[in-house]
Amino acid sequence: VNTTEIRAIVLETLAEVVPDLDPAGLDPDADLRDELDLDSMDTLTIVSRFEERLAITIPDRDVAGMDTLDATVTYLADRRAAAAT
Amino acid sequence: MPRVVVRWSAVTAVDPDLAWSILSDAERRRAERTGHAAVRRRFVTGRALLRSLVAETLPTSAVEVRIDQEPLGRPWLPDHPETGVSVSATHDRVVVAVAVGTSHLGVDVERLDRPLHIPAGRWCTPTEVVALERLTDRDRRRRHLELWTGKEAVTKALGTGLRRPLRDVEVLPDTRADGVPPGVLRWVDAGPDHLVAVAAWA
Repeated sequence: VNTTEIRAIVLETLAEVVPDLDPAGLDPDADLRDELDLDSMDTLTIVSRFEERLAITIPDRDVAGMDTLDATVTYLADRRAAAAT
Repeated sequence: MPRVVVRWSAVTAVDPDLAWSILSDAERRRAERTGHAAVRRRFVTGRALLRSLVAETLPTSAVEVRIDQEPLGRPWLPDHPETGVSVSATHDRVVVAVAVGTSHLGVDVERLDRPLHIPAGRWCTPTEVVALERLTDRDRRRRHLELWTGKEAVTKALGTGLRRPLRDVEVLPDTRADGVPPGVLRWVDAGPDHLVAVAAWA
C-alpha cells in the first residue's frame, strides 16, 4: 500500500463519517477536528476503520497526533510499513 | 458525589450576539480563529452558558470570571481553582456544569439515537463487552451511549482526554479506573433525545 493509496483510504473513510466532505477543498495542514467538526466519537470511528482497512493497530495515545490530513497519511504509512516488516 | 449544577440548551436557543457580548477577548479571538461556523457558534454558546452558570454559583459575574484552558483543552477557573467546570456539546445542544469544592468534574452529552459504529472491543473493557452482549438490541443501544458518555465524562474529569484509553475506564457496573474513586458517575436525560453523563469526585 503506497502513500497515494493510503491518502485515498483516508479521504474515503473521512467521507463516510462526514457526508458533506469536499476532499478537494480540504487543506492538508488544517486541523481535521476543527475543519470537519469531528468529535471524539467520530475520531475513534475513523481510527477503528483505518485499523480495519490497513490491518494495523493504532494506540489511543497516537490519535491526538493524527490531527491533519498530511499527518494522518504519514502516520498511517509508517504504521503500515512497520506492520509489514 | 459533590454538588454539581448542570444546565443545557439548544445551540439555537441562545442569542449569538448576547452570547458574544459576555465572552472575554481571548475567547473571542479563539472563536474567530475557528474556521467552521457551527463549531464557532457552539463554542461561543457553550462559553456564554458556562459563564452564566458560574455567575450563579460563585461571587463573580458572567463577564468578569476568568476561564483559562489547560493544555489538553479542559477549561478551568484560575481565580477559583477549587471549582470545577466542564462543557460538552452535540451538533445542536450544549451542556455545561459547575462543581463547587472540586476540580474533578466532567460532563458529556450524546444524542440518544446516535449510532455507534466502533467495535466494542476497541473502547470497552472485557467485562463491559460481555455485559453488552447479554442485552437486547434496544437496551444495548442505550447502554452503549451510557458507557460512551460515562467514559468520556470520567476522562474529562481526570483531565487526560483521549490520552487515557477509554478501554482503561470501566464504567459498569461501577466506575473503575486508576485514580478514580467508585460511585462518581450519574446519568441524566437532557430532554427526550439526549443523555448526559456527569462524573465528579472530591
